[in-house]
Amino acid sequence: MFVLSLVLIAAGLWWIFTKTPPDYQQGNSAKIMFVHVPTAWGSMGIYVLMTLMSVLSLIYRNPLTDVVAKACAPVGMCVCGICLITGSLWGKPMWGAWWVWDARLTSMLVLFLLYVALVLLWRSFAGMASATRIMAVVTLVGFINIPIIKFSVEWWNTLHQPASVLRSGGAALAPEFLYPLLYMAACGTLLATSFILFGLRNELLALKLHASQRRGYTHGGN
Amino acid sequence: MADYSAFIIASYASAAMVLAILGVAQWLRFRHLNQHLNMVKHEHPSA
Repeated sequence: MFVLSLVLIAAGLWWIFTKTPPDYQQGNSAKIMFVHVPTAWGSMGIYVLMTLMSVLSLIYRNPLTDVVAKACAPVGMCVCGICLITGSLWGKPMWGAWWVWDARLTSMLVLFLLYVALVLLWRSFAGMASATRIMAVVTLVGFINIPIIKFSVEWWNTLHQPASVLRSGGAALAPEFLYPLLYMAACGTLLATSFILFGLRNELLALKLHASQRRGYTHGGN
Repeated sequence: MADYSAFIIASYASAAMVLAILGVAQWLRFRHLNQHLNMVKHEHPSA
């Protein structure tokens, strides 16, 4: 899956850099959109998945849901980080500023900090029996930020443009931009899924190691 | 029209770099955990 997603992304990059025309206003800088927008969707999507896992964890107490949520956190942090970096690199030539404290950018930064906090908390709670419930509650509380990110461009007057794909009335993008964007979003989903599955495998190995340590067999690892 | 190639290259390169760091970190953790599990299995075959 990982190799397939890399091959598909390489094909997508060829499509973007050879077939898509420059934007009539933004020129070639609009090509940053094909990495920025999918990572923005991905960072919110991964958080929604983590929230879903947390809800299931609180209801059914299934350890697998906690492990999935834990495996998602570092991937979400990286995807959100890429979104912020590429947004900054797009903002500088278009707005003349690397960063502005507008509602969309600030709420996205809050999401990134939430991911960082969750990754650090999972590490510091390693091995604690009550950790899973605490983490599920913290993840649920952080979910408040997701609708704020989505609707920030409608609720407040922001420098960031309003939604142009996921909006009522259909996408405002020309097909030359929309199709490669959706293609890159699909490839990004595949890549993020393979990273989450790698993380899941590591978490299951760590659980196995902890279980053998509890039975008295030494040789640490975390 | 202005040339934004430096910004475009920086965007894609930074994305690739972050994902590469994540991939390497996951692979190193996998190797570390696997090594320890193999050691446990080697020293305690019943584990």
